[in-house]
This record gives sequence, structure tokens and C-alpha cells, in this order.
Amino acid sequence: MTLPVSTVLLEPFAEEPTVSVLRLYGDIGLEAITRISALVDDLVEKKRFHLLVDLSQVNFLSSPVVGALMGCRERLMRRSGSIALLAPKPELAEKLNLMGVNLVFPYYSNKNAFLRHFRWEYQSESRSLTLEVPAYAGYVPAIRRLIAGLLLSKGYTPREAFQLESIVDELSNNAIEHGLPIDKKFSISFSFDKSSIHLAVANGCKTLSSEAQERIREKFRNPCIIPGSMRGRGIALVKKIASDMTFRVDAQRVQVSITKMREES
Amino acid sequence: MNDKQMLLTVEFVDGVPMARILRFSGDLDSTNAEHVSEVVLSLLGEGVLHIVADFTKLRYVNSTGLGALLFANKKMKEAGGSMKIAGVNENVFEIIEIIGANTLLEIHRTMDDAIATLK
Repeated sequence: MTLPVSTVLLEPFAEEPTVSVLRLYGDIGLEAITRISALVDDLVEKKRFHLLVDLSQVNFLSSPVVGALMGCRERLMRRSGSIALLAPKPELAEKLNLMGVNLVFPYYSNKNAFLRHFRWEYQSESRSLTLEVPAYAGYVPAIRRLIAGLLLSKGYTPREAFQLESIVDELSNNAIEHGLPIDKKFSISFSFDKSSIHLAVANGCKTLSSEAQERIREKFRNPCIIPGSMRGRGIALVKKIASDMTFRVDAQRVQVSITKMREES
Repeated sequence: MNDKQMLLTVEFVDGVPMARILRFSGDLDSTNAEHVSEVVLSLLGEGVLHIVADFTKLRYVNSTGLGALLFANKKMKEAGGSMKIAGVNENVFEIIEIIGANTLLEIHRTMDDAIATLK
């Protein structure tokens, strides 16, 4: 298909049906504004509020068109929608940056990067990680820092990341020191989305008597900090930091799970 | 930063021969807390009565690390001395507070403040 020098097309986004793609080609000047506005009006009419503007084939984008896209952004965002720019050429990206467009529109270098962000931001997609870890304290620092780093990379605050680092650390050390991990390893299941974090630390153990199981349950139910004692503060700390803590103690397995809700920004 | 040799350095305090500064850096956790206790016991053995712990470069502490600090604090007090902590970052201070150790440890805002109490 041969396209005119300046072309504006609206297409569905195959990978994500709630997103429409505004595909621009060539030199996009003043004359394209009416068409772009009409297409966005049509989208709003159809209650399709997420738009990806594909700039990969654009050589020039006039500032009035940028202004028109800003107007479209406002209309979509008022309806909890979004607009993002896809793959501007380096020269165009440089010009857009000089105009401060990068401060208003997120840019993505490819569709997958956009999709990852979109699904995280608008579809509560979660990230998850499951690990089996040797029951040795020396492994814990790297794991807790990895988890803190994942949270920071998705916009959680340093304080939230630090607190999760503490929880991972305390529960892992608890599994290592008190969990009697029979197979010399324990497991960590971690997942988080935009609003909450879930973590479970579990270990198999040698068969626990009913009394031993109950003692462990009681430690989780009522962790007490004994004044003057040097130890035994880990579970109390976790309970205070986490939004919720649950546990399951069976004859051969102990699991502690926590949820931490994201702080209001 | 869990190499215990990297965690702690010991320095003299000008004009206070029975005091030492312990400078922490990195993370104080289950992998190196015991080393802190060993260093404190060793200093006590040398006749040191006062410790000023510089936390300015301490990024992280866990409950085991705090346990070691409480142990050190107790030992210094039993010997008739003191332990002071200064330069605590916000995140570490929050953990100290949650655990309730802020009521047991003598915490100063700056190293100068802490050292001034020795003179």
C-alpha cells in the first residue's frame, strides 16, 4: 500500500483490545489536526479511552499537532484513559524533548515496553517471583535487595522497599533459624502490583508434634519482645510493618504470608 | 557489603582514651551481627568503657543486628560505661523505633553531639 506523504490512521491494537493505535506517517502538519481530533472524538464516543500514537514513521510533527495531542490527552485522561507515544525517531524525539513533550507523554521504544507498562498501570497486572533458597543466612541479603530493587523499579517508595526488605529478611532468617528446614532450603513467593505486595516464606521441617506446632503458632500469634532480650524481635517487627500476616503450621511445613498495602501517595 | 571486615572500623576519640568510635557501613544483619558483639567484647577486654557508634553510612539493620547492638549496650553499661549511637538514617531509625530499642539505646542526632557527652 502506498500512503500519501501525510497520513493519519486509527487501528485496533491486536495485542491489547482496550487500546487503539493512532498511526501517523510522514510530515504531520496543521492539516492533520481536524482528522486527529475527529478520530479521538469517535474513540471517546465509543468509550475507548486508551490511545497509543505510533510515531515510528513520522519525520516531522508540527507544534500545533503536539498541542492537539495535548488536548486529546486531556479528554482521554478526564475519562481515566491514557495516551502514549510509540517509537519516535531519534531526531523527532530530540525535538519533542526540547518542547517538553516527554514531560507530558510517556514514550515507549517498542510495543512490548508499552504493553508491560499499560498492563501494570491500567489492568493491575502483577509481577511475581518464586525462589527456592538454600537455608543459609549468607543468601538472604542478595534476595532481600533484589526484592527491594524490584519494588523501586515499579515506583514504590524507598521507605516501602526498605520495609519489604526487612520483612523478607526477618521471615527468611526465621525459616533458617527456627523453621528446622529438613531439606536445607526454604521457598519465597513474592508478587506485587500497583497497590499491594504479597510475600510467603515457607519451609519443610522435621515432623512437629502437636505441642510444637502450637508453640510455633503462638509465637506467630503473639510475638513478644522481652525487655532486655537480644533476640526474638523479628516476627514482632514483621507484624508491625505488614498490613496483614497469616501463618500455617502443619506437622511438616511452616508458612508465613504477609500482605502489605501500598502507601497513599 | 556483608564482608564483616568491611562493616566496622574502630577509631580513637581525641581526649577520651577510654572511648572508641565504631564506624558502621553497609548492612548490619544476621551475617555480621556476631562480629559486632565480638568487637565490643574485645574492646571491653582492652579497658574501653565508652563506644560511639557512627551509623552515618549504615544503610540497613535487621532485628539480629539490633540484638547485637542491645547486647553491646548492655555489656558497656554493666562495665560502668556507655554506648551512644549517632547519624541514624530515617529507615533504620524507624526499625529501631518499631522494635522499641530507641528507649534502650542512647541515640544522638550527630557524632559531634554524641562525642560531646563524653567530654
